[in-house]
Order: sequence, then C-alpha cells, then structure tokens
Amino acid sequence: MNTILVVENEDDILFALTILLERDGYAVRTAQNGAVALETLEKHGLPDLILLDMSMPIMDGWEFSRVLDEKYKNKPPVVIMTAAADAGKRAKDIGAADWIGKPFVLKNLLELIKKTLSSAVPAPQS
Amino acid sequence: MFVSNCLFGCLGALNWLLYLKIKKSNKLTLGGTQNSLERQINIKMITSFLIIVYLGLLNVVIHLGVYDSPLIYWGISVVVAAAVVYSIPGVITWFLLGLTFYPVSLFLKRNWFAAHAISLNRFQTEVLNEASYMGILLFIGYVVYLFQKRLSNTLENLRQSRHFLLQAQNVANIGVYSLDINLGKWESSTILDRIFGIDKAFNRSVEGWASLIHPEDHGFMLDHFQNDVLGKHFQFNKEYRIIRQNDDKVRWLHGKGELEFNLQSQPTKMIGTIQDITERKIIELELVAAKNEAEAALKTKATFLDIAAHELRTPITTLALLLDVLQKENEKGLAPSASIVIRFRKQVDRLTGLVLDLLDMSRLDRGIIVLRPERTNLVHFIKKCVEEFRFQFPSRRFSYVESDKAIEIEMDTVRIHQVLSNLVDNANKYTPTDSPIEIKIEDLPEMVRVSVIDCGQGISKEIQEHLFTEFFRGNTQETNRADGLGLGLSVCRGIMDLHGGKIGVLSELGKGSTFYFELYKKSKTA
Repeated sequence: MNTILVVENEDDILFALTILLERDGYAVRTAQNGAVALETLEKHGLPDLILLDMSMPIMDGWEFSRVLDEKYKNKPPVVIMTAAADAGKRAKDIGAADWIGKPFVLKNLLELIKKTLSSAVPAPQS
Repeated sequence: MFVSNCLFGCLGALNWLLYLKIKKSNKLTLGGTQNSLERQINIKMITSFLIIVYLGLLNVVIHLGVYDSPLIYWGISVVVAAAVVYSIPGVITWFLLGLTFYPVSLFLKRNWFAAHAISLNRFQTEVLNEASYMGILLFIGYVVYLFQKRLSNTLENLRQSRHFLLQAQNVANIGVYSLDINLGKWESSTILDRIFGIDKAFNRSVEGWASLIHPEDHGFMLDHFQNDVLGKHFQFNKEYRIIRQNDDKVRWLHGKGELEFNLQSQPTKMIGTIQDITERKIIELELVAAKNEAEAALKTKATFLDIAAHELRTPITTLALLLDVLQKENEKGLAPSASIVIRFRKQVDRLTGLVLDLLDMSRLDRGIIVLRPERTNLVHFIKKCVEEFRFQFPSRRFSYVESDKAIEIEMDTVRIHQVLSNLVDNANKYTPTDSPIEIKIEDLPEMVRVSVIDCGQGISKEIQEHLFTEFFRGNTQETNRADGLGLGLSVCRGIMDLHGGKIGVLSELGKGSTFYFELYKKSKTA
C-alpha cells in the first residue's frame, strides 16, 4: 500500500483528502505545514509521494522543499497543489514531479497521483 | 539774397515741425528709460536743424560782405551747437562744418563769374551770383530733406516693429533680460518686471534673481547657471518656480538664455527670455497626477484580480472535495455526517464574507451605500455585540467593562456592527488564541470612541499608513495566514466616513494594537 503525505494548512481540505485518498487505497499522513511535515518524516520515514500546498504559515512549500532536498538524498516525488497562477514555474523551481492547480477535480488528482507513483524510480532496496 | 533767405527760413521751419512730429509719435511707445538709440535720433534731428540755421546765417554773412571774419561765426556756432546738442558727436559734427565755412566763403568772395571773359554789368553779376547761391542752397536743402525723410521712415518702421514685439511679448507673457556677466547685473523689460513682480528699486543682480527662486528649486537652478551655462557654455533652459516678489505667489517660469562672447571667447553677456508658464504647468501637473492615478487604479485592479482569484480558489477547492466525500458517503448509503455539514457551512460563510466585502467596496466606491441612522444607546449596543463575540469565538477571552451611563447617538446599527466585528475579527485573526481582547467605550467631549485592544505582535508605522487602503493585508510575507481580500478595513473606513466619524489605529511593534472608531455625539450625517 502506497503512503501519501499531504501537507496543507486548510483543515477542511486535509479532512476531505484523507477520507478520499484512503478510500482509494492509500495510506495517508497529514501535516498542517512544512515544519510539521518534517517531523512526520523523522518519525514515520519517507512516504511514496508528497502532496504539497505551497503557501502555508510557519514553513511554506519552498522552505519545506529546500530542507527536504538537503536532508533526504532519495526523496519521494512531490506533487504541488497551488492556487497561484504560475504553478508550472513554481513546480520546476522546487524540482517537483508534477503540479495541480486549485481548484481541481478529484478524478484528475487521483490520476496524477497514480501516474506519478508508477513513473517514480523505486527507492533503492538497501 | 532775400529769396534764398526766405527759402532757408521755410526749410528750417519745416525741419523743426518734422522733428517735433517724429518725437511726439515715438514718445508714447518707447517707454521705460530713454535708450541710446532714441538719444542718437534726437541728436541727428537737432543737428540737421542747426545745419540749416547755420547755412542761413552763412548766407546773410556773405551778403553783408563780412567775408574776412568767418572765424567769428564759426566760433559762435560751435558754442551754440555744444549748448544745444549737448553731446560729443554733435560738437564734432559742428566743428567740421565750421571748418568748411572758411574755404566756401573765400570761394564765394572771388565773384567767379567776373573772372570769366564775359563782360557783365553789376546787376547781371548780382543776379547770377544770387542764382548760383540759390542753386547750391537748394541742393543742400534737398539733401537734408532726403536725409530726414529716410530717418523718419526708419523711425516709423522701428516704432512699428517695436510695437509688434512688445505686443507679442505681452500676449505671450514673455519677459526679456540682458545680463552683463562681468558685472553680474541685468536689465529687464517691463513685462519681465511684471512676471517677477519687482519694481525699479529691485536689486537686478544674480543674487537678486536667486532670491526670487522657490527654495526647492534654488539649488539646481544655481547649479544649472553656474556649471552648465557659465562652466560648459550650454544654453540656459529650465522650468523653475519663483515666489513672486509683490504677492508671494508661487509661479512657474520657463527661462531661456544664450551667451554672447568676446573675441577671446569669454562670455560677456547673456540675453534671454523668461515666460510665465504657471497655467500650462498646473494643467501639466494635473495630467501627470491623473495618469499616475489611472496607473495606480490599473495596478490595484490587477492586484485585486490576483487576490480575488487566489482567495476564491481555496474555499471552492475545499467545497469540491467535501462534495466528493459527501458523494462517496452517499454511494455507501450513509447520511451526511454533522461534521461535514459544519465544514460546508464554514466554507460557504467564508465565500459569503468575501462577496459581501466586494459588494460593500463597490457600493462605497460608487457612493450608493445609504445609511439608516437611528437613535441608539451605544453602551447597550456594544454590550450586545460583546455577548455575540463571546458566543462566536468561544475560546477567546473578551474583557469589557460595563457602564450604566447611557450614551445616545445617531448611527446605522447594522453598519457600525459590521465595523466592530471587522475589528474584532482582525484582532482574533492576528493574536494568539490565549491572549484576551479588550473592548472599551470612552466618552470624549465631542465624540464617543470605541476601541478594540489586542496584545498581538503590533503593527509597524509603515504598515499602519496603508492599513486602511484597499487590498492591503498586514504582514505580506505570510499573506495566506490572513484570509480575505484585504478589503475589510477600507470598507470600515468608508462606513465611518459616511457617519462623519473617524477610524484609526494606535500600535507599536511588540506592544499590541488598538483599533478604534469615533462617532460624533451630535449627528453630522443629518
């Protein structure tokens, strides 16, 4: 079972995504901001995919991606969710695997997650 | 002899009349101080008049037979000329003419007709001599007449062109100056005096000019004059402000000037024009301001679209996902859980808030919000509001000192409620959950002040300035911490403006903020 970490400050989105992703057969972990997300990574190890909101208080998507790059050599693919107009550029800037603009249709998000997981290089076994 | 003297008399009289006519016609337009050109013309006219008188005298002397003493008359005439013409060129001219007197008289004395072989009697000789004098004198008279006519035409042309020039300067409000660079002194036309608002006694020096310049333009104007013009020999060309001497009004001028050089290429003079361009400049400045305003409005619009799009996206995303959840539950035959309904409500409220703010802003902009003032006991009203806030934010502590003193004022309760909830909302949003919010009523002499005091992080002075403008949201680095369009406070300001009241903030970084609004006890809206 693939694990997805959802980093998003909007409580209702976290709530809904957790239910929806779990129903689709993923294990879901959540974090309200980048700092909490890093703690989760420390505690539970790396997930198979990170769904990341960019603008969050305390630690935003940029800062989180920077620390992620520094700390983890074999980081999992990151898919960013953003309401910004220049989402594509932002995704490229932080080396994200892909992006989806808010508001999005659930079906598209699920397809994107599936596609990203299947094309991701599996983490080395050792 | 008699005939030629009569002719001289007429010639002299004509000359004098002509002189008076020219002098009269020029007197009015020349104006100001008598310049050197006008003096020269006077000298020439008087000189030519005296030449005719002199030639008449010469005629008389010859006929009286006093041929041997022309020097006496010469001497007398030089003194007379000096006294009348009163100028060095006049005296010199007179002296040279006197010099001619002697050989002419000697020549005439010869009675050159008698020297010829033709034998003539005394009468015949007398007639011929008389005829020859007349011929010579008429010729001289004609030359003088031509000279005067030309002079008169020249003067008329000069008068005309000067008139046009003055009129043009007057209409265009252009003054003329001439600056002597070595002396540092300038002369000015009457129009320039009017532009500067100065009188004859004004110190027409570079310092005098500098003293007229507006303090804000003083530095760069002197710099332009000293470095660009005197230093690099550029054209003087600047628009600047002065404070007009006679009425202390600020006027915009356009000064232009060209240098004149001597043979050693040293600048000696600067001649130029100064135009009063205040009216044009005011329009120009207004246009620039209007352009900036239009650009700012465009920028505001772009910012607004950005923020609005961003702010609308989040609740819509959330609602869409919640609907997906609802659908899944429905497919399973489950009834919607209470928690989902609450979440729906929250997002819809948020969207409603955004739309209401937008509507209010647009109504305020177009001036179509109409207040519905009613007599209200403010103390009672605030008490009710506080109770409401306590219910709305159950985890927040509100401190409010109740007073039993009634303060009756005219106000639109719905709108004032909107202002107060906005301030409380902000306080709630920007301060830690465990710190209290205080609401206070102060009864000031003319007004009543309602304050919302928090113990948050405070607001810097720079940000305070922008707080009440559209689309501004505190702490731009973490804009997303604060939802909303940044319209709340500017809507509040609009509402307070409509009430004739005030809204403001007192804050220091790290010491919390006090947002307050004030209402007049005596209604100003009526």
